[in-house]
Amino acid sequence: MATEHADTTTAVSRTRGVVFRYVLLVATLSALASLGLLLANVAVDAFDPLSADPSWYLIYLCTLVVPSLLVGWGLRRHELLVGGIEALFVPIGGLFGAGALFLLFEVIPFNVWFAWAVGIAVPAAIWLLTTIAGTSGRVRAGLTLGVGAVALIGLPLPGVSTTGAVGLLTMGVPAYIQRRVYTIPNYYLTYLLTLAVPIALLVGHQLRKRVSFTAGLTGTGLVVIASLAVLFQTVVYTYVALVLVLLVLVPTAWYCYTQWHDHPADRLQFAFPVTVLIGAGLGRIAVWVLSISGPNSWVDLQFLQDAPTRYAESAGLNPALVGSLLLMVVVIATSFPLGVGAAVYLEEYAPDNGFTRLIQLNISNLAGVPSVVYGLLGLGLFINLGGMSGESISLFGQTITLQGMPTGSVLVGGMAISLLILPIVIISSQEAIRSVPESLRQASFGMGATRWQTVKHVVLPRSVPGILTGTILAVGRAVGETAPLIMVLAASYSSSPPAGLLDKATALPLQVYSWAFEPDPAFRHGVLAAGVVVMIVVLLVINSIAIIVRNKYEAKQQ
Amino acid sequence: MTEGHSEPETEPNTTTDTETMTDDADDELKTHTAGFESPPTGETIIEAEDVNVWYDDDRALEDISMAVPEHNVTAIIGPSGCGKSTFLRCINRMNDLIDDARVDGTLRLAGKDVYDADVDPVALRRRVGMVFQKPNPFPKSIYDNVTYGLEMQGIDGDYDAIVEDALREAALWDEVSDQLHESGLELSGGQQQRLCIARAIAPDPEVLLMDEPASALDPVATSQIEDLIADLAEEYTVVIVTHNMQQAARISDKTAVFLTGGKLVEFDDTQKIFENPEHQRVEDYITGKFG
Ligand SMILES: Nc1ncnc2c1ncn2[C@@H]1O[C@H](COP(=O)(O)OP(=O)(O)OP(=O)(O)O)[C@@H](O)[C@H]1O
Ligand SMILES: [Mg+2]
Repeated sequence: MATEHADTTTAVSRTRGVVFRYVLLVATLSALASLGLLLANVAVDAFDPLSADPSWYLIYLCTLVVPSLLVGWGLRRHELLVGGIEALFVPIGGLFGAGALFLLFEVIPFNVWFAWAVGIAVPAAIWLLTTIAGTSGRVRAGLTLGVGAVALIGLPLPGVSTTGAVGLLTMGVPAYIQRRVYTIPNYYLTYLLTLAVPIALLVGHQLRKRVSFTAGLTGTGLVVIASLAVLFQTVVYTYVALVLVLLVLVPTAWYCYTQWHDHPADRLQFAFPVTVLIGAGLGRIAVWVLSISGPNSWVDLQFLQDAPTRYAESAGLNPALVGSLLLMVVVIATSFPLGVGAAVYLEEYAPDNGFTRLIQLNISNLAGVPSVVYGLLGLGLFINLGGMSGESISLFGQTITLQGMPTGSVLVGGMAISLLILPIVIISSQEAIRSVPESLRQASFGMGATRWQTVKHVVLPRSVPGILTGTILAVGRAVGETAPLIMVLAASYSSSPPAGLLDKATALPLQVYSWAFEPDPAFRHGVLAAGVVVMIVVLLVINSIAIIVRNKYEAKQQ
Repeated sequence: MTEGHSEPETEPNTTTDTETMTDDADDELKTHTAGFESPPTGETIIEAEDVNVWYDDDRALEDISMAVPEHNVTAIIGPSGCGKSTFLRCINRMNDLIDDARVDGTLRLAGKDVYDADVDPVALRRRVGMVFQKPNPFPKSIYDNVTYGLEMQGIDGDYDAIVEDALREAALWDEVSDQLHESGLELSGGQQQRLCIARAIAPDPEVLLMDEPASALDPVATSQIEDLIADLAEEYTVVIVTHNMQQAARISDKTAVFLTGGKLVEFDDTQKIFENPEHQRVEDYITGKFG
């Protein structure tokens, strides 16, 4: 009797277990399926794959897909596929870097860039020379900082002439070049001086460390030659070619070189990227020769380069892209130092008392506040100065009229989003700092290090990967954030890229949002979907950077 | 100092009452002579007087008074939780880092009370090196591990030579001389501990505190470290906590026995402690009858 009863119980509970397991499976699958459907829907709208000639697919299937799959499958059996895919990411990452640089240059006039680059070169050169001369650390830092400050902002000597060497000294290099030098080199020369020279030197330095002095010289020479060689091509603008060489070709070559040398057993992995690249190239040529039309995708170069218009065909999201990029710069520049600083203080310095715990609790709560609230906060704080904007106060006998920041500027938008992600940055940095073993701190203090030295030499180096990963993910979140931007930016909707941090701007999510209400269905489907795709790609890139950073540091700390 | 030495009275020794009384008197006498008058072992460098430590409300050390002679190895033994590590941390004020730890009493290093208001604990720790129970090299290269103290303390000099000397003294040089720039974490446990010792002696401290430095090591590595400690005593004053009686007997000149409750029960020449201890409890502990 008893055993029978037990048996039934077991059977029932086993059935329940099976049912439970399948319910879970169904839940997982339906979650994945709905996400997949959504993405597929967006992709169909954005790329319009049905508009392509079937033979277009056939050609790419033969040249790209099948060979890549075959090679990939073969490599997988030797566990080389991951390395191969990683290799493919280097040139792709370089392309994204180049794209971001071009976008940035839509904002920064290149004479400004040039002037600052020359200015920064002065302390950099001092630092380099003192390093070579073997000067002690403190003297080197002092010299670099001192000379650097003079070179960048000048000496405040009012009333002296502003021409010649004296002018150079009082104004600092960047200001002097902008005001007094009238023949600024063109784009190509600017990039050559400010990008090619440091990269060539860097490559040379690394090679000298790895191999020998001659190898270093050769490396530098190769980069210089490649940078000059772009002058002899007519396919794209020389400066575009130069940036591609420096940000795509050079890193790829460097990656290949180091991998080839350091992991001779894994050399076969290069078969994968080579197959993919050759396949894509062959397919492109075949399609071009046979003049077969591909899909009439909404996402194309024009979409990235043009401003939004009233016509779906010619609409683009360039201003939003630039706006988002600048927002990101502001967000990183404000939330990173504040967030990491707060985390270090809370973890390493703050006494463990009620007040600290109260702060801690509130930071956790702030992470959960709806983002609209942060928009309001940004509006109230930065633009209205808490209702004080426009009012006059007298301070030390002088009357000052308070002036909030201009509505809708990149700076205000970025700072509002910074407020939003600050708690996340603080919490993830704290977690990273907390994961540094206590025994290392003890060791450091035991060696007579001060608290600051311990933080700088032991705690921060160990927690940097965690801090960076957390911050990058938070920035990714910020890029897609819409609500605060609607509060602070929407009122000043702008259809040209911002010209500076105080200029009116729009951002990717705002642009996508505004397209959703266009009467023309081509907007609501094609253009909108294309915008979403761009946004998702940007997010994926940011998240991949986070993953790469983490893996790299983790590998290093093993 | 004499009055502070009160623990024998509270000692619950029920078997030999009369003996205990004489023991007490003797014990106090011994402690003093050991600390202040016995010249062959050098001048007193660390001198504790009625040191008490509380963690919140729990008393971890009770009226510890002892005098550690210079250029000697002094061992501290006792059962787990009796406050050995706590006492060690008092000497270089590592207890300051524990929020709820409170220290009172006098603890002099070369005549100066380290708990005086004008003593900077950072400066103090530069004079008193420490080696911990578990090897804890920094995730940096071997070279950078050894130079860490030098850099933090702003000591100039020929780092290459200092690194070589320190590693030689720690009996590690031959094993790592060709991989100085590789990570210290790639060494074996015993090597890591010797690296930590090299790190501690590189800035040339006056005193070296070692908290069970060999507890995580195999017999070979342990005996290497023991040899090392014997050598170190020629230059430094070593205070070492250990759970291993034989080890204490082998390497130390003086031994302090702490027993449960954070009390110092006996402090004397090692030979005396191990061959003819004054207290029954110490003998029981040493012979493994309790503890
Ligand atoms: N950070 C701390 N906070 C609170 N109590 C502590 C702390 N460190 C030690 N204690 C307490 O103080 C007493 C002595 O601890 P201590 O670590 O000095 O013992 P020990 O003799 O070194 O023991 P072991 O041989 O196990 O290392 C113990 O009761 C312990 O619980
Ligand atoms: Mg201990």
